[in-house]
Amino acid sequence: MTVEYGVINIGTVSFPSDPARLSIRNTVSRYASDLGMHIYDSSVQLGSFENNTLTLNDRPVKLPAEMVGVLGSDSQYSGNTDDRIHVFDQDIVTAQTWKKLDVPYYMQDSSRYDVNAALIIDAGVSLEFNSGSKLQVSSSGSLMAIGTETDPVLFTGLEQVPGYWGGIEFYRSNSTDNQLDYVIVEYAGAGDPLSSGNITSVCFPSTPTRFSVTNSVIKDSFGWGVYRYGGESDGCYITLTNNTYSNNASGDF
Amino acid sequence: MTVEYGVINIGTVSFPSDPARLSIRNTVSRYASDLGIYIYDSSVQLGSFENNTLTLNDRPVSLPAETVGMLGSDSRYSGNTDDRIHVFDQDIVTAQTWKKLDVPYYMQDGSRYDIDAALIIEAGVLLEFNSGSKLQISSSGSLKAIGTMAAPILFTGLEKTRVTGMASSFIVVTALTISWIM
Repeated sequence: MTVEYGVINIGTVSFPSDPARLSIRNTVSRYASDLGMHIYDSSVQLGSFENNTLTLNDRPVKLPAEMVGVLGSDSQYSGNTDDRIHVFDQDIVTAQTWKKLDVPYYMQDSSRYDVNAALIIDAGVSLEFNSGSKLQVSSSGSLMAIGTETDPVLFTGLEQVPGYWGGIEFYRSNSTDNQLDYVIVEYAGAGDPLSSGNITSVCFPSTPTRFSVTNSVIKDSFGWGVYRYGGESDGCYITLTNNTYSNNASGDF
Repeated sequence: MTVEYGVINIGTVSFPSDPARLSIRNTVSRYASDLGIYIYDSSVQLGSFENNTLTLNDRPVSLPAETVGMLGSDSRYSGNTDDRIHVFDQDIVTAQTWKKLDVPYYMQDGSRYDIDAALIIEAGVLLEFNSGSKLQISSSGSLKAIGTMAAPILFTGLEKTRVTGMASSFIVVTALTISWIM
């Protein structure tokens, strides 16, 4: 099917008490003056989304963070005026994988994106964060971003300015799945430079935090490269191995 | 039967309290200065519509969205000045299938076409939307549009323009809708 020349070609209106359900396969959405597809909120039940082409629109897709995992790499999202997946803030409460697409993800809201379930980010994924946004991994969530030497996972600001965004915060998250390997985290550390960083931790002995950062590049922070809230006696189990740090205003870690 | 040289060759006037009933089979409607057939509203009870030829008119058919499913692919609608089925806005409240005809459908009204029942659109169907129109699938409706690689279904604007507020072929899937778009 082809849908074309709408303002929003395929839109949804949905509420948790009254959800919209749809599947979209083998469909072309093009020439929209705004969006190829708009997912209203996470109550939308997208049964399948396969082999679609969203191109020649102003923007390909706008959807909540909780729904991003439905986007597959067998669809095309490039060739639009603004070639980014626009991700708005809605807590991630379902385990999911964010796949490498042919365009980056843009975390458009200036707010805290809560990761309250297991989130895996594939190698080669690029995430751009708006000013004031941050990614917080909570006690019920985990973040596993395993890149490769040639295909790292990039967490960056929309603008390349230290402190542009809040960074990744592990907040009392004690999962062994909290692993960042071959990632680049840059231009974060917004806030008090003495207690902020591109990657930060909040931990207590009764509610520990655990994560590892390996083979990664941590740079251009307004505060620390990695801000450690405390040591293991404080409940902070942090492994930092073989990373490259540069231009972090308060120090590397 | 052949009807020719009218303004509207076959017209209906109908009200829910006083419906018009008719069947049209093996009929040629031609040389109308406006319409080959005009279905006034969805209260018209079209018993059957089979093997007709609507050609050499200005337009072949004007009818409400609710009645479009009556049009069969065993009739001919092409060979008119404006070769499109003119579909005006009236809520779809009866489950139906819009078939692939030999001309496209034109959603002529600049308004919201409500789908409040199960609507199936066949492979190869082409729908053109006027400026300001949209298709809204409600909580009681669904849209199943399964094309094929060789015969996709096309939802497009009357004008091929991306200017905001102009042609708006806009599918909105709302609450409790189960839809397949393929």
